[in-house]
Amino acid sequence: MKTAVQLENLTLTYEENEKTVLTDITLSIQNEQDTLILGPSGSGKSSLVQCINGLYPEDLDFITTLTSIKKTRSLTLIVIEHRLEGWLELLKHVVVLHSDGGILTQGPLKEVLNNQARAIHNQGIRLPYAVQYSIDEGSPPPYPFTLEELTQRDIEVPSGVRHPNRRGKPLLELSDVQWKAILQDLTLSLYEEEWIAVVGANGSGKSSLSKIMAGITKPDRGTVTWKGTSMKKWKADDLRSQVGYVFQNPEHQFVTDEVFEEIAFSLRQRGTPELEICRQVEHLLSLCRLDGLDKHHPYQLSQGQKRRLSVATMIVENQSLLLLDEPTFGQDAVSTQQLMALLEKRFQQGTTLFMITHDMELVHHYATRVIVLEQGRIAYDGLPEHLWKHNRLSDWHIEPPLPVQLDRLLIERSCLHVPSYS
Amino acid sequence: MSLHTLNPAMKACTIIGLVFVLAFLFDPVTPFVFTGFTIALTLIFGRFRKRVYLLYLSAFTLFAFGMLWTTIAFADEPARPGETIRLAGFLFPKEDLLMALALSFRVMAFAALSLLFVFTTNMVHFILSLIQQLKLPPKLAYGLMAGYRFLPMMKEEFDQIRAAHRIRGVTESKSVKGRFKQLKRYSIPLLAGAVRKAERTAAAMESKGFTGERSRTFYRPMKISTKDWGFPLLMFTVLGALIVLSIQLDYFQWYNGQF
Repeated sequence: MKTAVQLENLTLTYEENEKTVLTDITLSIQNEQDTLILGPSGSGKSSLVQCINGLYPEDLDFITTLTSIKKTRSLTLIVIEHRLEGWLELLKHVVVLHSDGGILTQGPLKEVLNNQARAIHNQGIRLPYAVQYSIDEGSPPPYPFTLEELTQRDIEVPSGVRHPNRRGKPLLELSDVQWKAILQDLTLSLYEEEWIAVVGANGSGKSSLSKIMAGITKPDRGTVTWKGTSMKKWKADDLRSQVGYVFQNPEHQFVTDEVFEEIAFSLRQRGTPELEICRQVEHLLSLCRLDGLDKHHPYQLSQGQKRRLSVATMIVENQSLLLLDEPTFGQDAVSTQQLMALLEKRFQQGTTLFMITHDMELVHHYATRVIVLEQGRIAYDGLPEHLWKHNRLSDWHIEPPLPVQLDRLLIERSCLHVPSYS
Repeated sequence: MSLHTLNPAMKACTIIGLVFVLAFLFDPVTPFVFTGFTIALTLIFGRFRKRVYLLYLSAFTLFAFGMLWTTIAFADEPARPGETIRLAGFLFPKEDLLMALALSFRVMAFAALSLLFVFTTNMVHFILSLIQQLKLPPKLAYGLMAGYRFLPMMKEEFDQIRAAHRIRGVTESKSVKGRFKQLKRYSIPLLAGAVRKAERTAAAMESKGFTGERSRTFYRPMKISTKDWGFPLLMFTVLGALIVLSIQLDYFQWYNGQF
């Protein structure tokens, strides 16, 4: 008979309680073996059933949940998504719109991807990693859709283009910083020439930390020093010309009615000559790919343009540290790429970047150092490539980036298939 | 009995009725005793942080005391200047003092009743009860409820915008004209955010089948049970008894244009 449910050494604890709800439970239930669970109240009967039902632990993937719902109910799903990984098995049909609002193509999902991948790519739409990889390699369709399929082919291990791990003089130093119940005992130094990515679950204190670093909020306890001098002793204006902060919502930062004026704002405040202002603004407009938009109202720009404009306003004074709160949130492949290219240029010119993100691909590609925050404390601080091997990765809800996953699959495969011709 | 479980619409109507009756009384004793009764009732049958309640109550007490003082200080010429009361070393005309006390205790009675409602009523339950018992259009009521939820978010967003502007190097202005300009600068992103949030909320409500029709079902049905009638019965009985007592003891006075 087939086993319907199999539990092995299941132990469950709720976050707020120290006592375990379920302790070391091992059982199996056969198919069609209708089972009664008995126990006094509070013994964990409901929790046990919720575990069996897949409700606990909660980190079950959204797509898995949808897939299981679809098995039991007749249901039509319509999904809007940028990132296709995980959806490819569940969704069968696709409609692709082009930027003018018309239909570019439609049909069975895999067929469309095989035949139209290039056209879709040209629209600035992100393709599944395996498909993109094959296109970049120049291999002809049919494309592999998952990493597993990709490893079946004869491919080379992807080489990550990563920055060398340099580190200059210390720039910003936090010691024993505590703020409300959100940040605890944080000691941390940022150095010149670093590109730091900050990751962690929602509410782990990422934004609070960055605000303390920018001097927007004052810590309750502990000290923050900027270039060796306590943050308190810096004049707000001087600090601002050295530390830039890009908020999550770019609109919050716009203070004028015109793109040109927006960038010129802090230059004007310093009394820069008009000719110099024009020159600098023109330069930044083209750097941020906002040429020709100088007379527009900032609110009229697209999401990607707004984001680039907010970055432009924060680098106009050549700030040496730039803090970014989820800069790529809600942006499509093209605007993400444009933004990252812009940041890359600044990084090359010596700006230290401190970037909050959930996108591990970005961490993998750009960061020279990654910090994991967990409940207001630093859980990990080190190189990204070491992070992917960390054994607590799943506790932090971090999935290694796809190139790293691919790399691992390739290594696993080469271990399994030992060449037999030796 | 708990004041929290009473039907909110019933509670509100009772309190409005009581306020209406109290407004027509003009002796100091009845509102005074009734205030004491209401405060005792609130403290005994309400579950909330008593310190916060007392803080609010003391604010109203201060206001009532101010009213007492100004009424006495700026009173009309007394009709019978012979009758005086000595209080804290001062000599007051009796009728002025009584009138001032009547006014102050009326304020206190209104305050105690309002606080009873505010401290023992869940805002969401109140709005649901308004729809179900008092037939407030759901379109309006659910809009109110969504708006109520947005208030803390607006505050958060306002703080965000302020911080964002400060880091741009915008200095906070101290002059009136500067403040006005500043308000305008803050209000545009706030409004833009609010419009967007409202649009999203409206879309979410409509996509879940909200049409604004009155013939709808409720997740939380608010009902009026026999127990709910106990509250108005009790309150009006006590107020009635106090009025009867005041007539019996001959200090009753209607409000007829004094002050």
